[in-house]
Amino acid sequence: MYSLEAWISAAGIVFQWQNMAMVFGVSLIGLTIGFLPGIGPLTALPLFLPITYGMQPGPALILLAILYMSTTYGGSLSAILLNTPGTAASAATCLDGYPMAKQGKGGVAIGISMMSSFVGGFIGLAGLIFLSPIIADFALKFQPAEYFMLAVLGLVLIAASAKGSVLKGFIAGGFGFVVSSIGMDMMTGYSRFTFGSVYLKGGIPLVPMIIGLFAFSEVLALIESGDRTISEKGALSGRIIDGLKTPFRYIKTVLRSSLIGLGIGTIPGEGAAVANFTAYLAEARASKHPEAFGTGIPEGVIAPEASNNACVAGALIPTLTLGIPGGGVAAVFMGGIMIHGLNPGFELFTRHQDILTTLFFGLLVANLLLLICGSLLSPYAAKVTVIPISILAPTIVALGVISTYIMRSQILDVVAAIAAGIMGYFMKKYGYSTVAFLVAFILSPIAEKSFYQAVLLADGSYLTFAVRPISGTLLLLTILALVLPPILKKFRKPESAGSD
Amino acid sequence: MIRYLHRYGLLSILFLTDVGLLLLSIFLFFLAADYPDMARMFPRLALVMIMVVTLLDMICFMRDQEAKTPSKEREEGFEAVRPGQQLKVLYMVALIFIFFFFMLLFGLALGTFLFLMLSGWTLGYRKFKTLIFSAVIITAFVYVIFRVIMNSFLPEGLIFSITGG
Repeated sequence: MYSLEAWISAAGIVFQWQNMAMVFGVSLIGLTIGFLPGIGPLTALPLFLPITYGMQPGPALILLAILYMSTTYGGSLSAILLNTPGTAASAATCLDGYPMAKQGKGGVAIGISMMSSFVGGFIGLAGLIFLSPIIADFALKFQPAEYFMLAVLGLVLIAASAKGSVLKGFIAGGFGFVVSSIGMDMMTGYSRFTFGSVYLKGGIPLVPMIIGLFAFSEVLALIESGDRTISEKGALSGRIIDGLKTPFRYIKTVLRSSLIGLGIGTIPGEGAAVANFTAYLAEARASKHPEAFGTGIPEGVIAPEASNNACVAGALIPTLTLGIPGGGVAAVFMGGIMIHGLNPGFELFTRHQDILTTLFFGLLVANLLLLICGSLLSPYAAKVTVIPISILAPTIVALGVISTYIMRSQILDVVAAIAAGIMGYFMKKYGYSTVAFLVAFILSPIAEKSFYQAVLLADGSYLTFAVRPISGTLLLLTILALVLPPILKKFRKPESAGSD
Repeated sequence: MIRYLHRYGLLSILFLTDVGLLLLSIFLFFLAADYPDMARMFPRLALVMIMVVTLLDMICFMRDQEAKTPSKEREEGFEAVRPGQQLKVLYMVALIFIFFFFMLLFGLALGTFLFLMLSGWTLGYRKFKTLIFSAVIITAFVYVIFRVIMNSFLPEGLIFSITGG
């Protein structure tokens, strides 16, 4: 596949001091940027794209890929410590990471996150290097009917697993869908629910929604709690080293989640945001104690963290092999490839193998460096939990407002984020899942577009979703996801009653 | 009548929230009636789902109330909130708007500094020296990240452009 000479040459390039300094520097910058609520790879990559113009293609692609990986790493830190995912890819990490931090195990949770991310990233990279032709071939079989069913399955799984009331999970998911439909309809160009507003015609952007729903609503909840700090002084007793060892006690979880992340990453449009929730839910379903998820258990951190980092590598598979970006960030990455005069696909794998091996080798080194840097620097990041809330809350607000504004320099984006924050605050207060809302918000454009495309391709027949083998399987899984939990609950009830 | 309403929890904020959501979804459902077929089908489908599920939630709620077995989740929203804390939530919402106004008026650095000072004080932090120190550190961090490293476009400050500063 790739010759030994190519790997040796790649090592020679990566280990040049300038490139090593770049790998180290960009890893640190990415970790810091990822830590900022709402600022993720999609914000960072375009800003760094101009820097790569004057660089050789290999190091330029390494820079972009490391930034992608390190921002995903950094996003998990704020998810664990502030219940504010730095990126949507870390949203599921909040569910168990934050409760762990509140229990004084912030250090352990970060250690778990770092090692899971490392192993997940490594498995993802192995998949990228060795399995890319096979996986890309399978992803090619996905047509609109499959995308639609995958989105529906994702929505059902998220809503059904919402903490508290399942019905409220579905209500939140439904509204996520409706809010996502605000703006110009992509099929007809008709304005929906815009009430004459020019701003709403473009739809509500994702970044203000994420910052509002997670960062601002959390700030309001923190203030209302009346607590002085997130965690009491001295409560950060959990050691990172303990966390680093933990994933090795859950090998099955790590492997399962990494493979889920890798698989989802290869499907265009289904990014790390979907991967981390899917892995989390799969783990909860496979667990003998699903009720413990959400209370602060290691599996709840391992699953999303291993999957989102594996997904980063997975998203590069269709981008590099087929020229189909696996998501928004991969699309920016593809732009980075093209500005260097390279064409993704067959040509890249045959004529520019040297560049590819340099990229792969650089990513393997960066993955290890991120584990080391993350583990060394995280104790300092963990200190944020003992900062007084009256200082921490305004800081999160300031970062959130600025992060929202720099995306498009639109004042109304900030207003949208504030509105989403107030909505998120009340949703949390009255038991409506903000996670279900956000996932529906992300998935619904994919679902809607794919639905119409699938029906058009099938000459108006809705049966296409049931008769195609992959979409039919996904449909079956969706029905099972809806029907099985209440049945299982009924069967389990007498047992638990007995044990009580 | 009032006793009947109380018995089924019909005056509870949770029930009224469901009623509000039901009315909102009905309103949006009819609003979408004029849209072309392809534009209205999906939102209306979601709205019908919301209506059905909300009605189910209301029925479950009434059943729970009648059986006097309120589930844990229903009480979640009503954990005791200390007096004055909800007022601070309102202050914070107002302060977010004020921050944005500060940023437009004074620029990123000064606006962030003033916002951090004002909000820290409003939220009850009274150690003035620590407040100034933390505001300076955080402002410097924000400036380095957004202006120096990311080179983002941010308001320079209206007041400085007027005075030519």
